[in-house]
Amino acid sequence: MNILKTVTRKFRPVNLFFTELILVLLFFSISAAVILKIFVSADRRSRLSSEKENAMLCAQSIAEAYSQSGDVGKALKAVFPESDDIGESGGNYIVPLDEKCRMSTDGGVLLELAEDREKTASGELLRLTLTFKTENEELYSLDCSAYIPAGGADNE
Amino acid sequence: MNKKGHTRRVGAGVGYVSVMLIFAVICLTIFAVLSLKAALSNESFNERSGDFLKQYYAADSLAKETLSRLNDCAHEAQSSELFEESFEEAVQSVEGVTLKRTPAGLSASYSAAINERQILSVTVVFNNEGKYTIEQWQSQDVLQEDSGSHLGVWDGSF
Amino acid sequence: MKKYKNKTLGDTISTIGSMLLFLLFTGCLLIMIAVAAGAYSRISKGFDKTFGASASLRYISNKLKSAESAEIGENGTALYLKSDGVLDIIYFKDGALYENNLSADAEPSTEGGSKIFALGDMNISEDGDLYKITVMFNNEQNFTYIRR
Repeated sequence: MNILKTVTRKFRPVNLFFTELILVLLFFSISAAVILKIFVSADRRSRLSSEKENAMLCAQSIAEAYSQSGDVGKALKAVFPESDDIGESGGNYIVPLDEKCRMSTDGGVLLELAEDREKTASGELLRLTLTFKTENEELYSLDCSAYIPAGGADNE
Repeated sequence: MNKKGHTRRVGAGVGYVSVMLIFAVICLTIFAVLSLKAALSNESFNERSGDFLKQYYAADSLAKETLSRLNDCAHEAQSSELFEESFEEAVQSVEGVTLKRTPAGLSASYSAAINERQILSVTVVFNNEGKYTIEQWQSQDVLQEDSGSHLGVWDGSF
Repeated sequence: MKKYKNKTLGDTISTIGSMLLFLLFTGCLLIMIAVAAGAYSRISKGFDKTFGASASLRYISNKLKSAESAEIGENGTALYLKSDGVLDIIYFKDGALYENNLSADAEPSTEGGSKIFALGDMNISEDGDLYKITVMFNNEQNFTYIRR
């Protein structure tokens, strides 16, 4: 009887509420950690996808302009009209871009263009590799080419 | 008095917090799953588009290589007196090219596979001076190419 | 009586503690829901952009690549593509991109097409030897070049 009395005295709603809160907080912190992890992963994937998407559109534009002219400078000028001087060294170009693939020196994306020229009997076969990079990884890379006959592109 | 003290309820009732938690966790889980699903489908769509772009430009490069070889053949054939015959002979070394004599000159047709469903179909006409004109540089469906069938569009007549 | 007083004080402290914990829990809950909703909205915007602006740009460029001949009409808001005896008209009207397939010898018309994408604006122009396709989606401009 005494034991029962002690138990009844200790078993009070306020204690139950407090215990429930503690348990709920514990469970909430665990689930919040898991859910946040999913969100962070989704957000990272989404950002990367968006950057990649812009890079692909930009790559297609450069590839099309290059296929037509066979001139990297002209192709870059068509896609980035604001570009006045783009760093070139031995057929390699580096263009700093932002995540929306607009020219920007403080952006997080770097476009590297490597050109390879092959002389043929009747013209020149040009190959261009476009690589979009972020600080940590390669976003997208595309190989395209242009053929310039000896008489110039007007042959076409 | 003591009994009264025991039954008095202090703070919110037991169970409400658990209901709140369950509701919030369900909400957050739904948001998280939807976000991840959107991000994943976005990623897979971009992946496929990126792959297609790569495949297209790989086929485009291949077609340009063939064009360069054909132009080399034309360049070679130009030095001989009979351009068309020499060109036809030289083109035999280039794989997958079909030559046809047309009023405009020699028409060379070839294709480069983009993927298993599409090809890049090219037609180039070389005139007697060895200069070429690109008549067709077009991506086509393989099925369409095989069957030669056209999309049935109602032209207004019965 | 003393015992009762002590109990009341204990109850009060316990209640305040519980309420503070409850407030902390509610605050965390609200912050988490707000963060989740924000993240979802951002991701969903990216998703909309992919399936709006980029998909329409890719659709038009692929159509251009597979056409025998192309012509710009309606001040750059329509594109007439001919291939295999079919006239394919892609045009922008009333905030959406439409497509209409007609017989090659039919009169081009920007009426009665099927809606394919909801867009802010679409314009196709000639830039030297290239076509410049520009689309507006959520007040953001996207473009791509395709050779003619």
